Amino acid sequence: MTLLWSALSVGAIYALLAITLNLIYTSVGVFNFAQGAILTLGVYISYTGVADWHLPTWIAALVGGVACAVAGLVEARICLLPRALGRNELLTTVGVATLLAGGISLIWGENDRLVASPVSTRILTVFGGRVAPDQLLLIALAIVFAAGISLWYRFTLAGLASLAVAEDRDAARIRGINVLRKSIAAFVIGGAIAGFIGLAVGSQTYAYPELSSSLVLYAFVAFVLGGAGSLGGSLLGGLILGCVQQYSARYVSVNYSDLIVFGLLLTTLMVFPNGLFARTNVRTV
Amino acid sequence: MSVGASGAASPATSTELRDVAHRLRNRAPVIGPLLALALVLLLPVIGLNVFWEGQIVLMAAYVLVVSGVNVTFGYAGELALGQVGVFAVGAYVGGWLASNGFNDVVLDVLAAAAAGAFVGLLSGLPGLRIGGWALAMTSFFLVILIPDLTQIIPGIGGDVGLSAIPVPKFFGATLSSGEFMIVAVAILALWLGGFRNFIESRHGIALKMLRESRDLTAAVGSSVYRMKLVAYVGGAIPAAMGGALFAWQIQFVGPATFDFTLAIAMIAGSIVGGTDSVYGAVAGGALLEYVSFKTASFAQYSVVVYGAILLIGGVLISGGLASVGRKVVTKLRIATDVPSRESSAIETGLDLSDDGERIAGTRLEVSDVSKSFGAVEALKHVSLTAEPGQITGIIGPNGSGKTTLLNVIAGVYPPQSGSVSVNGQLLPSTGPQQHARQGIARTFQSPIIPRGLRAWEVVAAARYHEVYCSIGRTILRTPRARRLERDDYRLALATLERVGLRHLANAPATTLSLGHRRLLEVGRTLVRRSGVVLLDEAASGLDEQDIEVLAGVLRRLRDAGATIVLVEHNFPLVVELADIIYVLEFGQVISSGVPDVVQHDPVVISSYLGEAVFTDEPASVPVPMDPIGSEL
Repeated sequence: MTLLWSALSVGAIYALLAITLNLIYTSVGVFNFAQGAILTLGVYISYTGVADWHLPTWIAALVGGVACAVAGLVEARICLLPRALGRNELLTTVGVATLLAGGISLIWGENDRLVASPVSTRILTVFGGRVAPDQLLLIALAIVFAAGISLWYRFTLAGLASLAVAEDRDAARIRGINVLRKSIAAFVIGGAIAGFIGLAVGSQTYAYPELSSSLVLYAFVAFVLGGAGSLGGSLLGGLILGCVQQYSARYVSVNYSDLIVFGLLLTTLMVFPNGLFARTNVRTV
Repeated sequence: MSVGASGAASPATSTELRDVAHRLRNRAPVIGPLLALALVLLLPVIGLNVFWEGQIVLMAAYVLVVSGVNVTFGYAGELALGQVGVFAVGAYVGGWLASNGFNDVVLDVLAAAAAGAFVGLLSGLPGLRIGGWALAMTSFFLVILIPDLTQIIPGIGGDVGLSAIPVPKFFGATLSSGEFMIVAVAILALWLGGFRNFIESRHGIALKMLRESRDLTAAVGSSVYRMKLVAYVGGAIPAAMGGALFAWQIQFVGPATFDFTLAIAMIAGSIVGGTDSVYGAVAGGALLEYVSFKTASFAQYSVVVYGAILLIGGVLISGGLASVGRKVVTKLRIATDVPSRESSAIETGLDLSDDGERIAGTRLEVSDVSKSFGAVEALKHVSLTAEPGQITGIIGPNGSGKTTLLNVIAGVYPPQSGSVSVNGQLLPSTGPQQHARQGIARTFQSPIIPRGLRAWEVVAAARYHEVYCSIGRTILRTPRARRLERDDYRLALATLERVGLRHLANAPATTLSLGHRRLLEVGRTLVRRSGVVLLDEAASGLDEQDIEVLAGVLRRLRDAGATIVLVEHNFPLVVELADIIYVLEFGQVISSGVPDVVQHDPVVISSYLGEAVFTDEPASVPVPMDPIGSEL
């Protein structure tokens, strides 16, 4: 059970990032490679907020959220330029990710930083397994964001309008929905969420510059497992990935864990291109 | 512009000048690199120290890697973040072989290339189902797997890597650092020469077509899968060869070398040199080499610089340093009035009298085709026939099933029941590529014109599969390969003549007007042996004059024997052009016959033409209101 808790908490990190990837992909049709770097930026800023500026935990998380929302805004402004769309959005989002990762290592250096847990560090015993409160926090955050955004999509006008944009950008434009603004908003909200959860993520992962590329890669796997357009799918995809990774590392070999994940990714892409839980076909481009 | 103009104003002297300029330019892409190669090979003679010889070997290795990125990303349009994985495979294979008693430059580089090709093929396989970012991320996974794989595979040193890789040998003789440099540069030169021959050939044109559109590639009968695999393997081979050279030069291979930053650096190098260029890779390789050499001071900022390069490359699509070179060449070409590489040489032998040549149209028969999407029945028992030497019009309002019908004929959708046959032969329901090979050719509602091609190349690209030339032959430029290329050019020009675009043969195709792009697409359907020509809304968005021109072209083609199927909104145009019309509504043929009959058919009139328009007026009078066309 202790292993399950740790698997679920790692999975929750992937799930959270996959949810923001999904949010942006649904609204804009762009896979934002920089999302991992934005989350890493959030980790570092919240860390600095707590360690250097001595801010209260929740304020530091909010500062991280605001900073990453701004990063998302700037990125959207660049990547959504009409001439940057098309196949070039791959280049631009990878470019933003690289710039951010390079900037982070220039500012904070290459060394790992230990990020203080935003909640108590007293180990709890839940359902017979030992689990740290910050691990439970991550799992709770993943569930809250997946459910919250799904409800927002379903029950608010703005959410429905976002889905309309995802369904057919041109039709949405004709109906008077400001597609560009919706797209930019998706980047900003995705950035804000990634920044806000930075502190919780960092307390599990430590802060280091290469965090960005490995996070975005595993979040991508979670996103593929869950299917584009399904936030619940991303949540489950992340949790499943966490379990596959942790259990294979424990019971097979650490060296084979990534290979097994890679096999899972390939199988899903080839056999279930719409994800494991997909009911509707999302138009693939 | 001026193929004709330059021919007209030709006093003897200017013709001579033109010939000389043309010959020079024709060889320039080869002469330049040859000179550079000779210069590099002379360096040891003038006295170059061991350090610089090593730097040149490393640069050659990086140029090979960047060149591979250019193949997959620049020409085939797939961002392969896993290129660094293939580089690692080459380095490990070369390093292991050299350390284990098989130390021979030629043998090991070939072995590395083979291993790289295999890994490239494997990592490209998911690309057959997915593309774009999903493929990029999947290939990126290779980078993450490198450290694990070095642990799992025995004999390659795990975390520590392979060290003390021996000095390379060449057929038993140990190479000095100067001699190794010569071998490395020779390998690079061979690759670049072969790459150039490949990319300047019909294969390069076909790759640009694939980069633009899979639908188009399939619609001219070329295999999307096959071409993608060619691109992955083609990109992997130089990367792996570069890896082997790298291993010898550094005398060490370890997993830490092959990280994400190197993957990004390769792409940045490709962008700096120009992703769709052959020799631009040299500039890109030099950048990588410079960065790895200036380790201390620059490395800190290198990641930021790579990020900026990617961003600038993505936003500005500048074409890199290669485009600067190309602009100079273009200016020279204009100054010396040489219209293009091929044209002046082949033009004289071109017989354009085949304008009146017959086109062997075939009989298209659609029988009892039904197709539904979920609960929507898009087509209900549709049957129709299109005869050679006739224009068959298919009209109907939006949602009537026209487009579905066109897609069934083109093989995009398999019909649920019923069949499509050509000259009595049933077409298999296995996709557009098979239908295209059976002689179905189509245009697209918004013309798909690949970037970076001239008008004649767009047309010639459609012949890629029908008259195939192996890659080996192409690279060696065998007589057959050269003859095929001449045929491509000659047939493309003859076809352009047919559709009235002969004077624009050398124009960059994407700069043509919509009307011309439509005609270009019509030309593309004719250059193959295609029995049936499907035109998808060919008149939409065109003004009166363009429509007039298009109509003229279509009439000429019909008179030459083509089977033309016109799927249109524009009722007046169809009435004017078609020999027989089928009217679709709600997925059913509600009326068919000659235009005169159809336009007076009460069913057609009551269903959507509007009574006032057609009941009293003769067919030839332009219709003041165009209820169908206005839906555009």
